Amino acid sequence: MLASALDGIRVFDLSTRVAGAWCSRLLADFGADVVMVEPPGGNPVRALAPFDAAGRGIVGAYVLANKRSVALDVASEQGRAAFADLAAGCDVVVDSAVPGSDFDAFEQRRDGAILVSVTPHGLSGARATAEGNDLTAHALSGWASVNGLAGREPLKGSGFMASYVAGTAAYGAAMTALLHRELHGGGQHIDVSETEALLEIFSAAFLRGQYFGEPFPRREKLGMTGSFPVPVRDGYLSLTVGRGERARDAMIALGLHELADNEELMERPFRLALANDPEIAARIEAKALEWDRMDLFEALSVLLVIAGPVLSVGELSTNEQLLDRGYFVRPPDAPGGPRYPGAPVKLGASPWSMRRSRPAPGEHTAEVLRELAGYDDAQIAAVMVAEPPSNGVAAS
Amino acid sequence: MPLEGVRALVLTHAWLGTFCTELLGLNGAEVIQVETRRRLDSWRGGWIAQVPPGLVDEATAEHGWNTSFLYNAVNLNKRCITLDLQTPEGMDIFKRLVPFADVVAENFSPRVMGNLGIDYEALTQIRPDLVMISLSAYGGSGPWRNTLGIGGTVEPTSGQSSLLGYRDSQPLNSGQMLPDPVGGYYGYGAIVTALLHRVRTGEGQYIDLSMQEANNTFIGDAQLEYEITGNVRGRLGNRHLTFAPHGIYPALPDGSDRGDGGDVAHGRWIALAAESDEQWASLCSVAGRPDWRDDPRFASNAARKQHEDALDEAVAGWTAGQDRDELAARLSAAGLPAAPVFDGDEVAADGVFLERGVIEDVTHPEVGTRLQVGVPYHYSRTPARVTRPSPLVGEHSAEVLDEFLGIGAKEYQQLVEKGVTGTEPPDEL
Repeated sequence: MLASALDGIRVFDLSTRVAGAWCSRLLADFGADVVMVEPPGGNPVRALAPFDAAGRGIVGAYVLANKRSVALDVASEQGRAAFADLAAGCDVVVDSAVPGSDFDAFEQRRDGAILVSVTPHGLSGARATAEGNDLTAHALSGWASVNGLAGREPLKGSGFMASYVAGTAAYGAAMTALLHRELHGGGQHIDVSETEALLEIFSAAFLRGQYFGEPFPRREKLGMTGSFPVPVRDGYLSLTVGRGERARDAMIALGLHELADNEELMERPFRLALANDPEIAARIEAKALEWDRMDLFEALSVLLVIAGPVLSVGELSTNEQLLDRGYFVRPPDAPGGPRYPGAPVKLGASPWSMRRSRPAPGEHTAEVLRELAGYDDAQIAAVMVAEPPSNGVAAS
Repeated sequence: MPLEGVRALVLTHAWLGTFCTELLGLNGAEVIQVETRRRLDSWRGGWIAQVPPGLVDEATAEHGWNTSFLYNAVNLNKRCITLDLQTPEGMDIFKRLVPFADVVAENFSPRVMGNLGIDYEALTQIRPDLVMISLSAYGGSGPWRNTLGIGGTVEPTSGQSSLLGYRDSQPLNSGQMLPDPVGGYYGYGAIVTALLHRVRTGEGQYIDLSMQEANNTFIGDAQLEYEITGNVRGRLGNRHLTFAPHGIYPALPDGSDRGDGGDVAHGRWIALAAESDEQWASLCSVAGRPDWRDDPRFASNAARKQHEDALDEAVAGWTAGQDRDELAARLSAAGLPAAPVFDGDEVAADGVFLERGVIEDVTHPEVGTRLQVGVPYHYSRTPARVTRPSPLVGEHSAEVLDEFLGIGAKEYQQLVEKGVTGTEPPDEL
């Protein structure tokens, strides 16, 4: 019996961006043997802030975990030859280069090869070779135009949101191609655009524009009328009142009995009521300020009123739900080290697993060349690149 | 299409589950969506839904529940049957369909499937190698398992809201409940992973997706930062922890009717960043500001990060007098990440999206032909495409029941009369 869905599947990750790294991280998490091929100086993802006390990048620690690292200078002849020898034994290559690796050459070496190109704008079209990042993905996909407040600048999603979206989308596509190959044979080249992966989930706001004849706007106001979290005594909480019984229960829980008794108000979709009568929203918001987040969340939740306290990463580190489900994990090679965010989804028979922490640059060069390409010590010595910086951060 | 031959019977609704199963459809799986007339998919807007204002001139646009932008945006490539699972006949039909399904998906709150008697254990009695996914706010175990949640409340409880917002503002939610489709993307990947596992082992499995967990992984570097350093990251607006400049800056208003003289609400904006000293030098040269390049405050990325307020002010002062698209093109040609901030209309008009087919015309029986966001994947061997518009309520009930169970027109009509299936609002409304 296989322990995981991807047992025996070997992946090479040539990408130098967070999106590609996240794609291969998920393939690794579900059991693939992922080997990251790092350029001299290390994968640029290692150089992203913030840093730990030893100067190592935390984004790198997160997205490069569960992989092995081979340092190869594919610009050199030996490096290229070594890569070709290694590629003959690998099922999937993840790449972030434009125009992308030579798929035909890859396929000649490996029947059924799958190449996943994860790039800012995809491999075709007028923007293909343009630089891009999370910011431009949010700008072009429409997401920035709806995030934030109408009176202020549009907002990108926080951090590497677009990159994680694209990486997760690309993982789905890679799995799809692997499944197709398993069933019907044949590999393929998949072109995933980071911008389009984000555009895909802008589809509802997009179609609203097509149906209503005007683009979906940013919201005018903070608070309930803008569907934003509302202030409570110790922070913020999102409150979704609904209508009918739920709305009535919510008003009773809050202690707003006159509103609960207002039959006409309770039967209207609350959002419309709030938009028409800002005084109602003001009363609810004033009442919410008398509560602490978790108390109000609990009082509403038992009545099946949908609410959610704004929790910080610090608070989530002790969140009873995440702890009960065993969400946080420590990689087995660093049992005394920090806990990592764990499985994004729990598969009963072929589970997600974290098996190792981020490798040092080139940590597995000799091991992988010996194991996968049958190189002897002399051949290995010929392709070893100069030792990368100990913290894996390329000087810039 | 890559998933041809895979069949899914899905009880998904709203966005989290429907997007997950739409991806199955967009990749070529046959997706049969089971809906109940007693309680329509909330994204249809219920039986009280009105035809949206932009469609009232469409002669075919008759029903609000078939012309909802929310529903129609995320149910492409599916067929829809209605079944009342609270009637014995409805449940019987559902169970008779299960043997035909490789995948069952649902996103009710965790107790519903058990109460209906069709949880994973029960369904594997019918189809032992079933792949089943449950998508919920907090997952199927733990003290919050029965707590209801939607994208708008899981954004806060997953940590995302704490990081989204202006540097001087309160935590915000995204403009469109981002956590739902994030969970959907993961759910899709998990289903295909389970299908591959099944092909290789013969074994099906149960998948439990918590939207809270799925979404926490998307701020996982901030979560890990806390675990490593104890630092609780603040809201960065459009800034980047590593690079500066990195932001969304004002540009000249477009002068069209939509603009109103440069008001920030309707103005035009440009996203730009410099991720290296070379890119910064290029920006200075595009701006015609060699003094910026020579300014010690901006001489290195570290210096620019340190003086980011002054830097942003300088950049914004320059971009505010520039044409957005022209400047984005110049910066892009000079090797910087830069782009106009598109609204939905501009996305629809973008040549690259149209050329690559990620936005395409979809013809819907009530709405007519409209542009929609289609398939985000470009496969060289097995191209995926939109093959069906989002279905009308119960549009395929008669067809599907006949195709799989041999239920003919007469028997179907009897089921409609008993309220088990149909395309119209139930009698009690």
